Amino acid sequence: MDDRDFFSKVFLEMKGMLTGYFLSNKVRFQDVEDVVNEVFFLAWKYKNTLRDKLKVRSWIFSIAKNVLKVYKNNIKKHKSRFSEVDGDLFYSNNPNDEDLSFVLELIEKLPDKYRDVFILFYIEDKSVKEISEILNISESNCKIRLMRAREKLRSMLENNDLYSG
Amino acid sequence: MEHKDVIKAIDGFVFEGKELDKEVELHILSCGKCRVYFENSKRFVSGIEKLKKVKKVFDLKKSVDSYTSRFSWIQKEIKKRWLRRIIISFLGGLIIVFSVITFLYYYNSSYISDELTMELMLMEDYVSYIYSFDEVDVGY
Repeated sequence: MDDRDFFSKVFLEMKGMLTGYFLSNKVRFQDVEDVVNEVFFLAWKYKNTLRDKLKVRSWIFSIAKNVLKVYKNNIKKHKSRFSEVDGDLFYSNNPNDEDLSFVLELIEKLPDKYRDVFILFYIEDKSVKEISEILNISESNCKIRLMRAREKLRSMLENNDLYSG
Repeated sequence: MEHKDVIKAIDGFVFEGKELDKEVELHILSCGKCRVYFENSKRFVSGIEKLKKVKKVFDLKKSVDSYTSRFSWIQKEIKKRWLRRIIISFLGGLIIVFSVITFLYYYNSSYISDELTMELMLMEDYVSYIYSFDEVDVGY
């Protein structure tokens, strides 16, 4: 299998997961496609730096995390260019998406290491084994992170201020 | 039913998708704290479902959709970025060359004007020198 076939297969396998990951991290709906493509573009460009092909998923996921960081910094820098509505075009224009923005707010409040595990487990329906491969951590560590993410979410959900219904 | 058990049951509802017993529901109705947790949890579960739907509906138009068009967009992107880099370098080079030419032009022109001024001053001295002889001659 040459590089092209290998990366094609990996990209096809991961594009859905990355889309979910970026959407869960409040990447604007109109930007998700570009951000996912940027990840694949960078992966292809720097494919020679990949040492172990078995760890390609965690490698691509770490690229995705960096791309997300850069994206969020850019949004922060140019915040004045976007209006509030434009900033959350997809989430705020639809009145039925109150619950969606509620979830995104909560997910955003989670620390990075818990957030990634939570998204992969609950949004992407990945197993603990798959998550540990993607994040390059042990399964027990993954379980602990998942448990702590749940604890954090529980304490947030128990908070009186969140309830507006 | 104990408060602790209700919280546990709501946890199961949120994180494991378990149904709630009638007993739990009754407790939720009577307990303010559990009610807040349950209402927030319902919103949370519904939000998660919506997020999953959004993800499914979301269509990546330009991507590695099939093996036939696998890397075409990446190759195009690479060419596009190369072209952009070449154009930017070319324009940068052009600006530098213009700056150097402009600098040299002004430097040379100021040098020439200095030379001319010197020459003119010398000529003026020379002329006034000759005139001074004439004045002497006229005097005699």
